[in-house]
This record gives sequence, structure tokens and C-alpha cells, in this order.
Amino acid sequence: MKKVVILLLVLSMVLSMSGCKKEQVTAKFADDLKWDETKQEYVFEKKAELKFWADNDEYAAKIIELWDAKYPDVTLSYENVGSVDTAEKLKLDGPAGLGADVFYIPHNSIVDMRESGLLFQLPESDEAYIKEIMQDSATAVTMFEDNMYAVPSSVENIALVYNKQILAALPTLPSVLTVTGANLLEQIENEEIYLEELYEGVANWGNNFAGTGVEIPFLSDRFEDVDTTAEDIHTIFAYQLYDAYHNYPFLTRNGYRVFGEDNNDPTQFNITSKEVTESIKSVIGDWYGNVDGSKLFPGLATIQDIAWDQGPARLQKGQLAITISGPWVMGDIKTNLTTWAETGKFGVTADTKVSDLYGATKLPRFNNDVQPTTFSGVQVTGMNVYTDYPNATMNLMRFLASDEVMKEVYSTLGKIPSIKNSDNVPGLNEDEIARGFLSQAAFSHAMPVIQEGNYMWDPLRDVWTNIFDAKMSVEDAQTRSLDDYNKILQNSGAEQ
Amino acid sequence: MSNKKKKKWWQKLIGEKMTNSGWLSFFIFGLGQLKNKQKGKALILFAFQFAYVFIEVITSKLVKGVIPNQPEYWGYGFFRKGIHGFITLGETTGGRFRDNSPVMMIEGIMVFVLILIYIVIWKMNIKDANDTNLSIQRTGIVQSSKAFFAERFETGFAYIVSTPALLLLLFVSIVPILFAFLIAFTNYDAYHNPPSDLIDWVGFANFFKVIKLAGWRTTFAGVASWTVIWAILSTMTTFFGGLLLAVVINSKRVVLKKMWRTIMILPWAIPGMISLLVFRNFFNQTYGPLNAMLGMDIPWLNDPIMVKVTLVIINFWLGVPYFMMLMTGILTSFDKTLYEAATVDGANSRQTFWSITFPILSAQVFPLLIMSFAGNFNNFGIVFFLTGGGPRNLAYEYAGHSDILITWIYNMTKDFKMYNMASVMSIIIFLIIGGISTWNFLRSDAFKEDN
Repeated sequence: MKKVVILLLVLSMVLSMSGCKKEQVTAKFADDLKWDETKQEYVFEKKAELKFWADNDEYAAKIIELWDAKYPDVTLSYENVGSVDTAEKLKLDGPAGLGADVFYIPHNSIVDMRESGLLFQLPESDEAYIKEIMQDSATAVTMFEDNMYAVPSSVENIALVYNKQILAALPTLPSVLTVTGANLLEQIENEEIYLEELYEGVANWGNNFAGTGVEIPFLSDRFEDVDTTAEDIHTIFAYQLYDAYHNYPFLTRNGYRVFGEDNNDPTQFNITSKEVTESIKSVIGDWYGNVDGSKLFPGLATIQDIAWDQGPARLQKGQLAITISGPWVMGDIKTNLTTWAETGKFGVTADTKVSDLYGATKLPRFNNDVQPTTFSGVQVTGMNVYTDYPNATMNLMRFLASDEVMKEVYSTLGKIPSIKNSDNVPGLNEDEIARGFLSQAAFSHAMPVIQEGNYMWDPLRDVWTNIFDAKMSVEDAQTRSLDDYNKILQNSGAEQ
Repeated sequence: MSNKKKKKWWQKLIGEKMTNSGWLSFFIFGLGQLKNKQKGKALILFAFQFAYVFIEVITSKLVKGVIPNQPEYWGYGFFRKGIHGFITLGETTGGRFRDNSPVMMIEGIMVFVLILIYIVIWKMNIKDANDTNLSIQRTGIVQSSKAFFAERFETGFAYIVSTPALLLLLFVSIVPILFAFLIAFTNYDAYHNPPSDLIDWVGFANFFKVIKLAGWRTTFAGVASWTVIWAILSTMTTFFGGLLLAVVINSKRVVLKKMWRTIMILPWAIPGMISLLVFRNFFNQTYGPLNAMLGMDIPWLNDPIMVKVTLVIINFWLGVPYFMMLMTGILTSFDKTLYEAATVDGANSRQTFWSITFPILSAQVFPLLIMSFAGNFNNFGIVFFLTGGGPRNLAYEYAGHSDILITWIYNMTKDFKMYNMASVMSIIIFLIIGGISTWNFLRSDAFKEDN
């Protein structure tokens, strides 16, 4: 009997595997939305209760306060969930009915979550409304095949971040441009130097303060051991080298864009293109990728050595002159400033502002007058397709895009709101550092929102690793990078 | 049937022969028992079968409303739907209100477990009907249900009290493990992304991938052999290091024993993850304080061989206190007269150590050694936080020179969402660790004494 049962099971399994057909069923969900013209909001479900996920307690408390003032009848609760963990968490919690109705995610999570059917597709009317109030580059990442799947909240991109105190003490560097600035700070802020020249100049100093031959202010405040002979501790320029996000701009000199013009064409990875070769060759010159004789990063055996702790973290401590990083680097600096004011470090007093010590501006142009292109990152809010209260949740989505919340995004989170009209956010227009990052934002494009976008990172990073570590020629490094990319696609189940 | 013939397999299952009562119970639970005049037993057994049928019916479309245009199998009852879902892993795509393959698989596994329980009870029910019937035929005495349960409660008490725990374990432990195991036979990856996409059974295709594709084969061979070497080295160094320290500190000639012990245990007082993150910067080739202090340029974490040496050294630093404290504890509990007797017999200290201390000690710590081996085999933290798998290995897929199997699996799932391949690797790890551990435990004295 048992054997017969097993036999039947196996038979039916084989049959069903060969003969199964997938069918599509239409959802009833979108029909549930009811718009109230007079109130300009969706009609709240009775007894609606909402929950949202974010990763900042202070911000969440502010949001709930504002919400309660506006909609006192609808309870809004909050749970602290890291924005990068949201996608994985919601895949389990969503279908189980435990997920939040609205959540904050980085825009690259949109791909995965949309593909797995977790994101509610916004109605056209809301899409139009969001496009009206939000920056175009920010809404671009939320779109897929002409449908909107999330609402932008804040934007961020990397730029050149520097210590004004140190740069002001350094002399100007040679440039083919006319230099009117009196020191390196003015030269950079006046855009009187090309990227290649900046690299080369810093490299000629040995990328170290001793090599500049000038006195760096408050040197003893910066380093415990001023007289150390270890060159590396007094680095001038360092950023996260082992990272595709920070290295991408240096591929773009001759017009390379990953996945084509709209960044979403899976057939256009193009890492082996001539444009990439030329861009890398121009940037590395005869010094950057030359590991044995590299003057910019002396003694550098692998690019893995310069991570957050060796780059941006040292800028935050006042030890590094220049880095390439995003607005997130400013968070700790604000905290440090208070400590420095108490101890009098770097001549900081209670009146000193962050912008007195630090600055941000767009990356210097390449020597063919092209501005390096960076990736823009967008923090977005997404709506859980498994919500029980679609109308109330849509109202929350719209609320989170309103000016009053955008003010909190700037003042509490310290992020740059993605709205078009920055006049509605007090302080934003006067914020020098925010403006510095925004100046590079104009030369940023959205990260790809196709599945392949998740697979590009290692190959994009390793084109540099292949040159530095494996000591390949630029062309070989590109070929190898493409091979890696194709292998990932194949292994991850993409249909070739 | 009275002659002592060897029982056939079916006789073990259902009793000596099928009686009328047995046939009755074959179709309806408890009916044979009712014929045997054991009403209480009959009621309980029947209630069990009724519960299953009831659940099946109440969850089916016979009593529940039907969503328009839904596929036919959505109207099946719990059990039928579970089996159907397990076999097909869903037929409608698109997220909410459609099929969710992993959920269907889990439900299917649960249904199978429930059916397994059903079959076990079914078998017991038939066997009991037969046995009782034969016993009545032979003796003419009908045992009342009450007497039966009283007897079973006496004889089978251990089984009765452990049943709830067993059931709980089945669902809390076995079902998730089966799920993770079965993922290896599906195409659950980034391009088959539930809930919106469905996943499908692919048989052994993923296993063939590991064997057939050159990249995977190289990576697997390389990572697996480093993992084994790593597990052996890291266990042995900490074990003998701990032993040495314990013996030295325990020696009569050492003063300030407590102070030494306290200092030695300090690495254990700091959370391992913090130490590892600190070490990561400490050993940085270009910027690290260690190379600056030494005035040298040693690629601690950047050279394929050196990184492995560094890992073993740091693991030694982290792991030695544990073994030291363990051995110290055991050493202090030793019977002093053994040593006195040895001294009287003229044994020198080396003889005492190798003939008395070491054999007793190793017998006691051997099972812990195996545990430690298994722990190091899957020592995710040290590789992940210290090297992140680096330096990169051009010949590997998704792994670096210092990656061990478990961190490789992590890369595959976290960064590339290859759940199926990760599950294949987990099965392989399970077979290796399970095999070695079982073999070792069976050989160890500690295990033998337990029996």
C-alpha cells in the first residue's frame, strides 16, 4: 500500500512538472481606493491603524507628532527597521500580515521589492502629483515601465568634501587653467584645477603633509604623534577606493554610462568600451595605477586598505584634507564640533559653524572639461501591497511627501529633501555644505532600477582591483570585469 | 501462529494477521475497537480521524466562499491543497492574491508531517484492533478501555510525556530544516523572486552545477579545503595553547596564579566582534598601527597565505582563554594522590604529564574538541568581520582567499540572492560536520560511558 502511494506521488509529481501552466489572475486591490475631492485625500477606512518602518527614533517621533495633529483619529505607530533590511524582512512579514504599511527604503531596494511584488503601484493621479512636487532625477528611480512604485523623500550623492583649514594653508597646484586663487582651497572652490591635475599635484607631495613643505595649522591637535615618520598617517587625499559607488565617476570621463542613456538597458553594460579604457587611462595617468611607484597612495599593496576608517572617518577627526563622500559624512562632524569647542581643538569656539571648518563641492572636471558623473541615491517611501488599509496608507504616503515632513527630513535627519521647491524648507538654501553636494547632484544620474543593477557592483569595482591588485593591463581588467558580470548573470538564473 | 517463526515485515506493522476488527479499523479509525467492545479507545481514535476530515472539509470550497475566477485548486481543502501546492509550487503569478511559492512549500511540508502522524496513528490503530481481537479470541477476556489506558500509562509513560516535545520539535525544528533543505532542489534565486514570481522544482540541477561548472568546482574545492584546514588548525592551536597555559599556570613553581589567569582570560571579556573590527584596522597594511610600530610592510590581510596565518593567530588570541579555563578547571579537580603515587614510583614530571595528566584530560575534553571543531568550521564572525573574505581570488566565484564555506554561503544569499545554491552548500556542510561529529562522538570515551 505504502509503495503504491509513493509511486502515485512520484508519478503525479513528474506529470505535473511536465504539464504545468502558469496563469495570471487579476487583483481587486487597486479598485479599493476612494478619493475624496473636497478634502483632497483618500477616504480613511474605519478603524484604520497604520504602522511605518524607519531607522531614526527621533525623526519617527516627530512624524507621529505631526500626523496626530493632522489626523487625530488614525493611530500611527512606528518600528525601528534598518532601511537596507526592509526588503528581506518584508518578503516574510508582508505575506504574513506583520509588515508595516509604509517603509523607508534606499531606492536600490525598489528593484528587488518591485520584482517580488511587494510594492503597491501608485495610481496615476498620485503619480502626477508626486512628479509635480519632487525633483525629476529623484522620481526617475521610482519609475518602471511608466509606473510609479515609490515616493522620493531625500536625495544624496557623493562630492568632494574637504577640510578648509588645511586646504587654506596649502599652496596652489600647477594647472593649465588660469589660477587666481591664493591657496588650494580657493583654487578648488574656484574650479581652477582639473581632476587629473589635483591627483598629480597631491601625488607629487607624496600625498602627505610633510611633502607639502608648509606648516599645517593645529598639527598637534590632529595627530598624537606629529613627528611620526610613517608617511601614511598624514595623508592628504583618501576615499573609499574599494567600492564601485565611489569609483564610478572615474569611468565617466569619455561619456560612459552604465546600462546606457537611461541606465536601465540590461544589454548596455559596456564595461569593455573604448570610453572606459580612455577614462581609466586618463585618470590613472602614469602614477595612480602604478602600484610599485604610486605616489598618491604610497606603499599601497591593495586598494582594500583604504576603507571608511582610513578615508572619511579621518576627515571627520580633522586628520585628512580631502575625501570623496556623501552628506552622511557630516553627521559625526557636527558631534565632533561640540567636543572640539569644549577642548578648544583646532581653535574651535562655540560660535564656529561646520561650514567654517569643512566644505563640499562638486568633483573637479576632467581635463577634457567634462564633469565626472556620480550616482545619485534616493531615499524613498514604499507602500506595502499587503496593507489592510490602502486608502489610509495612501494618505500616509502623501503626508510623508508634504512640506511639513520635508522640513523634518532636513532638520532632524540632516538629509537633503527631494522636493523641487527648496524655499519651503527653512535653512536649506543657506546651507553651504548642502549646496555643495547639490552642485554635484546636477551631474548625477539615478542608479539602475533593473535586476542587473544589483549585479553590476562587483564587476564595476573590480575593474580597478584588476589593475591595482592583479596588475592587469587596463584592457585585460575590463575584459575580466565583463566575464565576471556575465558569470553572475548566468549563476543567478537570468535567461540568456 | 504459535510457533516461533520470524515475523514478516507486515506482521510487525499490523499484528499477527488481519482480523475483521483490523479491517474495520483500516477504513474507519476506532471501528474495530468498537467491535472489540472498547468504546473509550474507539471514541478517541475516531475523533482523531474525524478531526482530519473535518479540517479538510471546512477549509475547502464546500463550505467557504469562492473568489471569482480563482484556479480550481484554491478550493481544495487544507491537506489536498497542501500536497498540490507542494508539488506544483504555485500556478498563478503576481504577488498578493496569487500563489506564494515558499509559503506553499512550507504548508506542504507541514501537511506531509501531519499526514505522517496520521499514518503512524492509522497503523497503530489497525495493529491494536488486530492484537486485541486475537487476544479476545484466545482468552475471551475483554480489557476495558480504562484498564488499557491505565496499563499504557504505566508501561509507556516515558513515551507519553515526550510526545508533546516531539510534536513541537517536529514543527519548530524539523519543518524549517526540511524547508531549507528542499530549497536546494528549486530555482529560488534573484530571477525567481517570490511572492510575485513562482519557484519551481529543478531536481538535482544545482548539485550538478557545483560538480560540472569549472568555476563552481574550483571555488568549492578551494573553499572547502581551506575550511577543513582552518577548522583543524584553529581547533588544534587553541586546544594545545590552552593546555600549555593551564599546565604552566597550574605548576607549583608559578606564583600569582590568580593574576595570570585573570590576564589570560581578558580577551574573552571583550565581545569578539568588537575585537575583530579593531583587529581589522590594527592589521591594515598601509594604515595599521602594527606595521607602523614594527616599521615593516607586512601584508597581514592582503596576501593569500599571510591572511590565513593572521586568521589563525587572531583566532588563537580569541579562543585560547576558553580552553585554558576549561583545562584549569579539570586540572584542579584532579586527585592529588595520583601524582603522589607517581612521585613515589619515581616518575619524572614529563612522565607524569604524558601518562597521567594528558590521558585523563583528553578523555574529558574530547567531546568539547569536536564541538570546537564544528564551531570553527562555521566560524562566520572571524572571517566576516576580519577579512570579509578578502583578498579577492580571481579564480573563485563570489569568494575570496580567506572565505570559508559559511561566509561563502552568506555572500551568495545576501549579495546575489542565490538561495538555491546556498542551500546546496548548507547540505554539504551538514554532511561534513554531521559525519565527522557523529563518527567522533561515537568513538569518544565520554560518549561510551554515557551508554
